[in-house]
Amino acid sequence: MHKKRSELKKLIMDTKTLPTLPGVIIKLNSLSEDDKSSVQEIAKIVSSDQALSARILRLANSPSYGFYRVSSISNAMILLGVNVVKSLAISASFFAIMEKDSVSLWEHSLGVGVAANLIARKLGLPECEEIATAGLLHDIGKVIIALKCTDIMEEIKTEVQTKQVYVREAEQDILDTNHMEIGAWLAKHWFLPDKLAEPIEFHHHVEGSENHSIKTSVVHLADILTKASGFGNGGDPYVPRIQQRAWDLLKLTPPLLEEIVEELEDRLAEARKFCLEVQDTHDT
Amino acid sequence: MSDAQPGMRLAQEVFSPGNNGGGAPICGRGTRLTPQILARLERLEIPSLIVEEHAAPSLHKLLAELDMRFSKVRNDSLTSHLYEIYKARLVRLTGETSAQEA
Repeated sequence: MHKKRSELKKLIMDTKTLPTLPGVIIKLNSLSEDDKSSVQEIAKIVSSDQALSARILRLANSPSYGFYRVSSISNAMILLGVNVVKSLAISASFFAIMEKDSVSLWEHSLGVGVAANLIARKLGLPECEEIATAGLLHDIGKVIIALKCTDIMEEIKTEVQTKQVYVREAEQDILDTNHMEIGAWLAKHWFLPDKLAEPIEFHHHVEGSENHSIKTSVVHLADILTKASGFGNGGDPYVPRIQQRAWDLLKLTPPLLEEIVEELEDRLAEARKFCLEVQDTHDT
Repeated sequence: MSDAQPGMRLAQEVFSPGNNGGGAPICGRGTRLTPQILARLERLEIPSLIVEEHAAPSLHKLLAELDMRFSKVRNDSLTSHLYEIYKARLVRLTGETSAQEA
């Protein structure tokens, strides 16, 4: 059994079988570090990939960001910033996989994006769009597990149901790793910035986050609220514990939490409509 | 009424439309609709009926689901605040909303 576990881990961590980033993002990665490249220039490169542009615009107009008027890539660049558009391009590639194979995980991720954005705004934090993106991407490790070990997914699901455990516990038991570790490894492999990588790695262990503990706390809480609301399905139905460190860092109080829940439920109702619209376009 | 399909179950009794809606009961709650029953209801010009599939879930069911979601953290001092917020919200909302009509 142990050998099997380590073999699975090796298979998951094999970079040769990883989904590759679209060429546009690689090009973008090299460009945006050069201050001289103008927004228009970058927009032109992204727009050259029609399918990707469409996906970016749909995500940019999703309730996770809530602008509702992003009609072009250059518009998105100005409203959301170059870095957000870059991570949106990555999210869009992932969401394409999830939309087909795991609608409930896609909904959960979208819900966490919505909640993370709302919490960040409510608390007056900087870089709300970056935090929303971290929320959207927090479970990318689960996508990789689903992609590489389709048959093992059934085993994980069965263990969650029979033992009534969190999905991360079943992953650890069966794969000898978990979606946080895999997500962190992927983030490193793709050179995602720390402000995205830390929430991905530590959304279940806020104490571990060193440089972006506030952002990590927001994603941690956003994940909990989305599960408390019963929105989407990240693999198990159980609400995780709110960690003391996150509670302290975000200066939460029961009345503040109640305000956040009330606003979030309105936003999730919008997100539900968005999910149905997206699924309708797939059905037709 | 035009949305009602065979196989759906009635969430509320159906009364004949006479006497300002207070007529004789035609079908009991829980009755599974058949093409024959639907034809009869149409003949009697029943304007609408409430079926289980469209009925709002009961507070009892919503709270049971909430309890299941919070089952691992109910005794945690911080997370129990969140449980109480959601519980109060459900109690408030189910008092406000009514079942949708088919």
